[in-house]
Amino acid sequence: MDYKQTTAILFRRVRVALFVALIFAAGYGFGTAGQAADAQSRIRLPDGAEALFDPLFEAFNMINREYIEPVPPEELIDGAIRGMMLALDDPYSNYVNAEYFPFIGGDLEGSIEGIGVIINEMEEGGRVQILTVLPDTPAERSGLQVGDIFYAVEGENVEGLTNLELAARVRGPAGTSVALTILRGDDLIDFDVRRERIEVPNVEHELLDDDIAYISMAQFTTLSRQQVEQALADLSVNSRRGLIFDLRGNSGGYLSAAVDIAALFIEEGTILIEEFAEDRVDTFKIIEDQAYRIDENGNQRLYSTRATYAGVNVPVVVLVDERSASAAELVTGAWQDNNAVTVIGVPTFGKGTVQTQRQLVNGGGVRLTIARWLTPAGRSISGEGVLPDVVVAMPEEDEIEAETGADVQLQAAIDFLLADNLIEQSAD
Amino acid sequence: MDQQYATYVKVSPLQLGVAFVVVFVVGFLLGNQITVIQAQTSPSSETSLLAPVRQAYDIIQRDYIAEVDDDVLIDGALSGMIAALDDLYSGYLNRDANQRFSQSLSGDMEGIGATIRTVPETGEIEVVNTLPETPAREAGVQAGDIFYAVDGEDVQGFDQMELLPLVRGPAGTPVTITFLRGDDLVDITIVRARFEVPSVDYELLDGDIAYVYLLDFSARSRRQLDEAFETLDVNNRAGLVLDLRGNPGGLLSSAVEVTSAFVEEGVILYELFGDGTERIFEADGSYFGLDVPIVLLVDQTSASASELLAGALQDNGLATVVGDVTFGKGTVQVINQLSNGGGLRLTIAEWLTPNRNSIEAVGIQPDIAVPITEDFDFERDGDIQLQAAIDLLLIADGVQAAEASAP
Repeated sequence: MDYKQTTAILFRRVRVALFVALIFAAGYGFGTAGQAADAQSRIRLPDGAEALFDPLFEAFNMINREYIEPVPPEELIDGAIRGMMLALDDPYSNYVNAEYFPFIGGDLEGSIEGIGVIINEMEEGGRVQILTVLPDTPAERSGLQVGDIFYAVEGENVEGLTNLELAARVRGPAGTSVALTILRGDDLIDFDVRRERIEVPNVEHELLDDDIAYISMAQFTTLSRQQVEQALADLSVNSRRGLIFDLRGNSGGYLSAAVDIAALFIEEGTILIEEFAEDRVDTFKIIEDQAYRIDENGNQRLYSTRATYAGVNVPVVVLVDERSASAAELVTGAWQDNNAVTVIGVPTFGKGTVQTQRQLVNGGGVRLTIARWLTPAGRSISGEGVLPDVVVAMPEEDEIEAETGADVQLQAAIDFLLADNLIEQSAD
Repeated sequence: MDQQYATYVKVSPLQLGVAFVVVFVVGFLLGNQITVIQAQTSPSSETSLLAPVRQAYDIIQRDYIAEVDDDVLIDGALSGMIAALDDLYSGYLNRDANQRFSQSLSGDMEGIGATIRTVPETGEIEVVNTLPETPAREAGVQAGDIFYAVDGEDVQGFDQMELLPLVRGPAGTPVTITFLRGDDLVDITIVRARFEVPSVDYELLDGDIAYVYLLDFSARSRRQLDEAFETLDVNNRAGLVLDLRGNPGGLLSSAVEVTSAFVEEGVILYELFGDGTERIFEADGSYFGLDVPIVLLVDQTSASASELLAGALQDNGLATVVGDVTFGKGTVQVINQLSNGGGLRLTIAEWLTPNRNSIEAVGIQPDIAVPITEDFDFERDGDIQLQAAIDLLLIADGVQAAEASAP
């Protein structure tokens, strides 16, 4: 997960993509939207399963009766579910208890209730710092600054907390206040910040020099497609020399959003192949929408375009890096296999699986790997990632002036589009 | 637990051949074993509390990308439940680990005969020593060898409880262990055997001093201790040094048996349970009748049952405690048997010395402190703690002799 922990240096470098996907999100939540919270009605233990669970009842009773001090039963239950998920030995399957589950995936719905900062875990010291203060938010109006370190929340020391744990303490219903103690330099400063509903920034666009359109996207949320369509329209993209679609630092999001986005740039063709375990494909409802079609084939599902092509007819470059993961890799692979774009950057993260998220009756929830996906050409990107068509790595930190923050990947994309243009012009 | 091992290799009385047999039982004080608690007594409130666990199980077995063994999930859930206690001394043992753990406490073992420790700096598991006349020693396993793979399975990053089930096994079966020795990987195939784990080693030291080294508290410890006392003819010596350095503990019953050799009558310990009840353990009447001065040698790796013995003798004024402050483990565990064959090791009580002192996180303070400082060099300085014990006994003997010869 280190790839999410963008350093300040890297952040400065990727100047144009100002919103590196760290919106309190746990990262690449990636699955099918709309399947959660249906599990309660579906407990069906196979024959003999009662005996299977006897040891858990026994252990639970023994601890309650004999352990040297009382233990809240919820902690034992949380521990048991956490242990069961750990036994899968899959980094993408895990349990989040009732305290934190409400904060999982909220970013992917496009807005949250909080103060309006993007945070990250510092590489040293077990501290969480402010990476970005979003404009026109309570955080900005209260005077919080980039680089501020969270020292205490509501008077409680927060050293050692993860992003998610800190976010759970800082967030809360709009209209309520949170007391923060911030470490700034050597000073401790108290803030009282009133929470609001915050739109999570995701898709941003601008017109670069040389008449090149630029769109960046931090996550695949339920709003992404609409936002990208808006950006394409705002940029009048077909009257530009080319489009750069920046997926660097994009850690993923919803599968349906990824398919939606992929379909925008593919006139007709396959987007991905989703592959379930044998005999398990049936348990998932097919959720189609206007953007794509799903065909079943044994334990595979083929997702294809359905006439939502955006009709972009200028050259498109997709920028990726080692933090482009999951849904970002899915769209990149789909476009690459359909010859829709040129991919520039470095090999991507390499996460080729699909998770689903289910709420449990205790208010916690599990995230579970349910399928792997292949690109339209049948490629698995697990481990290796998507390989760019043109490899351009960021220079090592000591090779560049951190302050100038030259974005060589972006420059390569621009150069590529300009050269492409020249070729087309000379061919005319 | 790692810190228990931090120093004892250096501090060992190496002259004595068999050094530190930490029989893989580390720092536990085990009370009575309790058998299965019936599950059908679970009231409906517990059923509903466990409902989310069943739900998670159901979701996994229906939708996970791969088939998963039921036992893997249940073992995982049990491990996770116990881990939630955040107690170093409570843990879940799956069926295999549970069988082997029980066996290790019997004083007999089927395995290879190597003593291991976790290297605190690296987390690697290394061989501390091999027992004489065991397969490990005969196959050429050496102190300092680091476990790298067992039967081809990479064991780097394993803790001791994970490694042991792979290394141990029925007598007569082979196991191939890949050790990291210096920069080399060395494959050694060892045929496991059954052997009695010695709990006691002893020697007659210069100055006519009986020296007994107690390595742990197993079911055989008291018998072996009596044999050592008899062989040494201890009551005709100038004094006794009982060395508890590096002794991580063992069975509570063994601790009571061993302590009863020194305490003729009276309280040995108080056991305080979570519900506020208390159990008193008194000397069991098996007093050995020692009538020479006794020095107990302890250090930071003397834990649990060792501390129980030291505390009981100190409070009763029966021995002089020499060395370093002890580890400070003042709790009692039980192993409960579960219906799947696994075991639940659970901290159920705190224990107090006869003077009702808790030693948890504090340890036993020696009467005469001989700490091992950081710049201590065993090669150069020798065993200064043992020497302090000997000196003390020789002075006491000299005083007695002077008194006896006084007109």
